[in-house]
Amino acid sequence: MSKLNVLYVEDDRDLRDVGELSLGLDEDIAVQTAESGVAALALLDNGEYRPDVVLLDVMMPVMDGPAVLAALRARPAHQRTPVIFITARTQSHEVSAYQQLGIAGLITKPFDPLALAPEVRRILARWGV
Amino acid sequence: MNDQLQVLKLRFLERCSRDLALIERALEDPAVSITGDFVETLHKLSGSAGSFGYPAISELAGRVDDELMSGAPPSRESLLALAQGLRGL
Repeated sequence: MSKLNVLYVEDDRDLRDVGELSLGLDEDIAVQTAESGVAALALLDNGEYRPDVVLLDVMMPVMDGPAVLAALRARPAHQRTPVIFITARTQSHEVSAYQQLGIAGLITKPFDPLALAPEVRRILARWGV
Repeated sequence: MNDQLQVLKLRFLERCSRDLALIERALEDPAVSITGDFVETLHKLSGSAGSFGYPAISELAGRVDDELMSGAPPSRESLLALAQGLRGL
């Protein structure tokens, strides 16, 4: 069985590293990280890496999560790639706005390191992946 | 996992010391609390502390973050509570 390729885009280095460690607890997940939306898009545009799911921080400088999502959807290869937002901003109006963007799911920060990989899998199962 | 997490936790605590220094500067000079650097620092602290085992810090930083998102400078009360929490780490 091939591994699930997860791209985790997060500008907070500490959280990015703990997220990578957490996702790596699932032996069937291969994690790639990017420190910004710009770096993530550059990685995808080189064509050698294709994630099965993108875990995307919402509040980042330069390109926030919704902007990265829009840029992904504008790329034919990633129009259907599931995107999971990860954010500390989870008031009902914010969640509603995110969901209207067509995300597969939402993970609330701060996340439990032991629960991150199972949560990603739960969201993907619900999304039909 | 535990050893690696411990290394990351120690690095996070060093960062908390820097964050505390910034918050103390904001307490002395409220203009600091509306800078982009401060807003970004508080948002990151809110989103990360709980993942390192400090949910109370996430909650206190989240309170300040919420105040900042409303467009107003954070209250002194919220900043003092967060500073006290960080000193206790």
